[in-house]
This record gives sequence, C-alpha cells and structure tokens, in this order.
Amino acid sequence: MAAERVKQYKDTTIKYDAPAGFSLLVRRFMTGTGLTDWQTLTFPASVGVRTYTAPLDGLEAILVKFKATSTGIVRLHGGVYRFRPIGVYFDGAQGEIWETQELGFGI
Amino acid sequence: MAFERLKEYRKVRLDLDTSGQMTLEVYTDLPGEGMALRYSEVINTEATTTGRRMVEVGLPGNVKGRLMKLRLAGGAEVRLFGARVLARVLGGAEGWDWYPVPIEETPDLFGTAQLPIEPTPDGFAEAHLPIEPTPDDFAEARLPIEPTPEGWATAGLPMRATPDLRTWVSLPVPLVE
Repeated sequence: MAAERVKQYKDTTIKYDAPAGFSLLVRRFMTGTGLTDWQTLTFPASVGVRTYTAPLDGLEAILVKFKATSTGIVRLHGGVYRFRPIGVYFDGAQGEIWETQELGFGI
Repeated sequence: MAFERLKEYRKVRLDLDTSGQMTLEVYTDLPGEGMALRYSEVINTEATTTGRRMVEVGLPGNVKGRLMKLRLAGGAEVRLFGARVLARVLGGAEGWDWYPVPIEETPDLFGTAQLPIEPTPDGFAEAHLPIEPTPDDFAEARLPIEPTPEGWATAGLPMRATPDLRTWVSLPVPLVE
C-alpha cells in the first residue's frame, strides 16, 4: 500500500481570462505506474474574466499535476479543486494487498 | 494481548468497490495459539453492479479466537471504505455485536484545495513613473562671483633689481686707423 492515501477527485474550478481558451492537461501519480496523463480538459474562450468548472470524475491519484496550454494569452486569476481521500486503496495488479493487524476488538 | 477474551466470529461486512476478483482471508489465533487461515472467500463487486457496495461474508461456526486478522489480496484494484466484524464473547453475557475494523475514514463530501495560482487582486496597486519629483521648496545655488579675500595680497612693482656684481659693457666708439 502507498504511504500517502489515494484521493478521489471531483472537479476543478478556475477563474481566468483567455480569448483563445486553454487546455488543461491533468496528470496523475500512482504507485506502480508513476506519473501518467489522465485527460486533457478544455476551458472555453472568454472575453473578460470568467469562472468555469471542469469535471474530474473518475480521477484517482496520490498526486495530481496540472499543465495549462493555449494558442493565445491566458490570465489565470485563481482556482480550486475538490477531492477526498479513500479509506484504503490498493492495486492487486501491482502486487499490493490489504492486511490488518491482529485485532482483539477490545473485548 | 493476553487480556483478550475468546470470541466467536460470525460475519465480516465490507464496504468496498473492486475492479475484479479478490480473496478475503480470515485468520485467527485459535486453535493452536498461532495466527492461521481459518476461512477465505472470493469477492467481486464487479460481478453484480459496478461501483461501491456492501459485501457480507458469512463465517463458518468454528471461526473462533482471541485475535483476528483480515487480508484482502488478488489482482484487481480495491477501494475499501469500511469493514466490520460480527462477533461475541464465548461464555459471556454480551450478545452478538458489530465491531469496526480500523480503516481511515472516507469523507462523504469532497474537500477543497487551492490551485497554486497567485490571486489577482480586485483593486489596482499604485506605482510611481520614473519622473523626478519637483520639490516644494527652492534649493540654493551660488552665483559665479569670486569671493573677496579677507586679507591683503602682495604684488611686486615693475622695477628691475640691481645686480650685486658689476658687468662690462662695450662702448660704441669706432676704431681710428
């Protein structure tokens, strides 16, 4: 099992100004597979500052990395993402298992 | 450890999501006073519906012990949200009860984290243009007039000095032949 917990990600909301829009490449880090591309999200063009929320449903990772690219100017003014840690996550295909300590349940 | 009482185990309930087939193994320390595999069962939440669900594994009546250990292994991805064990003390007055297996909690709601983007302030900041400011007061500067000295200076008169030695001078007299 990984030392750091795996998180489920819900969405990301970014406040920006990009006349040509921009793409957000989302990369994820997992034990075994390392850092891999997950998806590229599209943020629509905007005239002036706007806020847009892109879904991250299905993304599970220990760490995430975002990379914004565009054919024009992009002004990023702020952003958040939502996540929650999973109790226990492991990948049997990577040889990982879950095993408890000896439990007495206090009785 | 020594204070644990002998228990009988009836069920293991798991709140999980597997991407394929996994095996749940149940170990106890009795009989034999050593942790040994007492029961195992294949679990696969994908077999019915995709996603998270409760799986209840019934244990045979002979699964007893002071201590219990659970192990989940296989070739699939597993998200384990919770686990409980139905147990009772043998010979005790207490009845069957569910005991939680210590697993870190998965919050129902998603938390928020900031992206590392410097916020853009609503107001504008002030910065000075590179123009020298004009002082409110006037500055002092000296006019180009030579100052008059306080004392008197000495100057020589335009007269030749008398030499200490005599000098020969040729008279302008023509020679007679």
